[in-house]
Amino acid sequence: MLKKLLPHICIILSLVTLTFLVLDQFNPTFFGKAFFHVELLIYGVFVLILSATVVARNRKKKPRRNDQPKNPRPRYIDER
Amino acid sequence: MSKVYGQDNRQNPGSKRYYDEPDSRARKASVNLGISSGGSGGGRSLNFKRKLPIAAVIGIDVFFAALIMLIFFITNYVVQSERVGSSLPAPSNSSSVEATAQPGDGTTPTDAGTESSTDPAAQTTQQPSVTADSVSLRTKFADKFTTGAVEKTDTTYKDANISITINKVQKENLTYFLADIYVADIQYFKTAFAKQPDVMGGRESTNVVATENNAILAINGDHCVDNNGPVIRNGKLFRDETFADALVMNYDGSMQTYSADQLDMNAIKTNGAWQVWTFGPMLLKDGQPMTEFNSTLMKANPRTAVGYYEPGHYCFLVVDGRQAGYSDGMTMQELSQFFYDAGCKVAFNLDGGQSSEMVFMGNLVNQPYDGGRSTTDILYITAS
Repeated sequence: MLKKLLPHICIILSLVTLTFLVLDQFNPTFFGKAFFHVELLIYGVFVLILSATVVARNRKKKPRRNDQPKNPRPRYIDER
Repeated sequence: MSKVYGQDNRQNPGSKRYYDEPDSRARKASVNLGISSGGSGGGRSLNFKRKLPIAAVIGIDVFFAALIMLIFFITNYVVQSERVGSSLPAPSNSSSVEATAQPGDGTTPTDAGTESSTDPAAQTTQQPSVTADSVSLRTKFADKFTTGAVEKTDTTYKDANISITINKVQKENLTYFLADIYVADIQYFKTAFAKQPDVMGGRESTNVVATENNAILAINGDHCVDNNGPVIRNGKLFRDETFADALVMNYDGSMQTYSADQLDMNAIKTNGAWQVWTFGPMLLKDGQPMTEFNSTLMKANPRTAVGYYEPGHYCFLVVDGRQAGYSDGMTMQELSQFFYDAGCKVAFNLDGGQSSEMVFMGNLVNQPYDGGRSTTDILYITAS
């Protein structure tokens, strides 16, 4: 479940961060707020976990050409 | 007769159906979403027969991001916690001359735990100011003050302790108001918060706050409630965090600017300070104009700034802006150069933009952008 939610959490937090960034251009106070610090901390942790998950998935051993895939795409053979 | 290799054909033996046909995808979708339903078994939960379009998924994420921003807005701007300041020690050489503070209000030298006047009455009823300097300031600027009478015009004010002269300057696409100020004692140079002068957290227009505090001249402050950084007002500490540049006004009437890493709040808490403003940036470094500032607001804008010549002699500057044909405002570099040309030793930028307002004897002097907006605090000169 967390694996599926992680990308969405990262999207949400990145949107919040970008919004803060834009607002800070007009009123340079947002980066100093505790709320932003907490948000950035959570964002960093989740991005780290998501990145580690993606890296781990990419490093999984790919099946060799001769190996039988787990779920091979079905092929039809008309036996008529 | 056909045969499908590599898959379980128990459900549809002999059929030509692929895994990836619609019904199969729908079953996978319901699992992927983690929201299954229904239908025949569970009965209560929803059953999505297909995946949500990517735009809808992103839309949901944007919705949650907006929800977080809304929570931030409510907690930071709607539900404001009020903050009461704590007294800081007045300098040991300070004693009082003007009986304005009430006993035990936290502003007397006695409350601050420092030495005070030998006059017992003074120990309990007077506000910290610098007697010797006060006398010297009064003597030094004697030609600026009257002997007691109050002299007022539309742009000037003079009495025995205060002298204010406002100059309006209009150039091509630039309009600003410069108030030249002399005070005989720093207690005439005060700050006040909106709604309750000694409680940080409210918001009102500069004009209203000025009227409530009997201000002769007032400008908007540093909007400290919504900003970060140190806040000391009228000798009371409201916030001691360091964040951006800060302007410190000491009990002797002198002013210094500091960057966040240079500001020693521990020393200030030990030695006391009359006022500390944040926002910034500082506009002069060692009395020289600057080209680089600790700010991202560099373009031409309405500005509010305070300048310092010497103890007892200050200036307030309000620049109108964002109004084509009337005034565009000043860039930060122009502001810095302006104070250098004016002869100031220290200058500091305060909250500008739509907040920039100057009020003189109850009347709005400048023409704020879009009618102005509420502020959290003001700097003001008062005779009371």
